[in-house]
Amino acid sequence: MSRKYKVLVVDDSTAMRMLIKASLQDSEFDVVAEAGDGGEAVQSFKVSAPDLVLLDIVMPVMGGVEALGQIMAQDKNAVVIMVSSLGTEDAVREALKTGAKNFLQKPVEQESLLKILRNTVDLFMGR
Amino acid sequence: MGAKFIGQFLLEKELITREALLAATEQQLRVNLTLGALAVAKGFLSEAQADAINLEQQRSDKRFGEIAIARSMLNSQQLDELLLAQKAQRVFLGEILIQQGHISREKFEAELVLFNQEQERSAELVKVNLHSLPQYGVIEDFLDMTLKILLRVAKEQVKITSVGYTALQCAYTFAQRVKGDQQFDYVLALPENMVRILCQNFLRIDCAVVNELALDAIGEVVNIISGSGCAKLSARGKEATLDPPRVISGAAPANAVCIGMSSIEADFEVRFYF
Ligand SMILES: [Mg+2]
Repeated sequence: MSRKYKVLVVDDSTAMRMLIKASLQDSEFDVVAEAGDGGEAVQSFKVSAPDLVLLDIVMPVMGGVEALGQIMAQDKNAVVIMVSSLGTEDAVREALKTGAKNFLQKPVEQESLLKILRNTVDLFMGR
Repeated sequence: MGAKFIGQFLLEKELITREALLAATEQQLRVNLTLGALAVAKGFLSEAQADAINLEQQRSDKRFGEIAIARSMLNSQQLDELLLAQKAQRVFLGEILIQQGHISREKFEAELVLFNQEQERSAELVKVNLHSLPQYGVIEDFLDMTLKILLRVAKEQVKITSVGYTALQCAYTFAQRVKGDQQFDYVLALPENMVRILCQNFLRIDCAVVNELALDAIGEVVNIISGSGCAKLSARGKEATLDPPRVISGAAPANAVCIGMSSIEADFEVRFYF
């Protein structure tokens, strides 16, 4: 494993963040920060400067798509993968249009999460 | 009331006692070995390997054999041998009840026929009642996802037992607002033990009491069901979006559509508040 990638995990559900962290344990992806809503995510993105963001959509206060817009405004090269239960055409289109690099519909299984992270790294971060 | 399995059916008819049913199901667990245990017994796998496969199995939809072959821990010949052995040693609950002298073979066989008839009748009735609901389309999509997601994330085999407008008394009620072309709350009403079991299976941790984390976990399960339901609506050209899930209390509204559900563990309800 050549390097570790810093990951920010954003989800309003503590349980879901636990599951994602458990899935990434012992992989090349290191969860360096967590956030529970969109506002926190934007703040945490500034502070933790992650290589990748896993971003939920359905969250209280500020939803994921709005947070995505603010993150992309901070850093137009941000690599954000949406991880959401909401697998509607509108949600996917909206997220990709706003700058998300990829979209994973919940439930999240370890295998598919690692696969989408690795694909995204290959495509956008030229490892 | 849809009978869950033959043991429950016999118990409800007072043909066997609770103790007899418990003893028989325990015996069944003892004698019916899992593929992992059989593989260890035959020396095909180490215990650590079997555990690793079981763990992965809990996290995915895959079967034990599929994982073992993908990981080159078993070859297909060994798997065939294990499956045959499992089939050969498999003992059904009825057989154990008969052997343990809780019911005669003649009586059991007669009851099994009645049980199968009742199962068919109640499945038919549920289907007819569901179709007669005015919001059938949406309800069908969300019920379908409820069954699939509960099986996928919480390994819980569930079936629909009733359709109606009366709400069951449940300890915990989770709701999520669906908005768009149609607005309603998708609601999951669960007794306490079901919250703990779902949490345990979803997070793969011990859940002895219902705490914040358990409620959060079930909220997320509801969110995954609703999100998948919305995806189905979207595939049919409808717009749908979600508010975050929440825990609610109080009685169900009068116009709530209540779908009775049943798993081995408990009875619970899926409701739609239009
Ligand atoms: Mg969420």
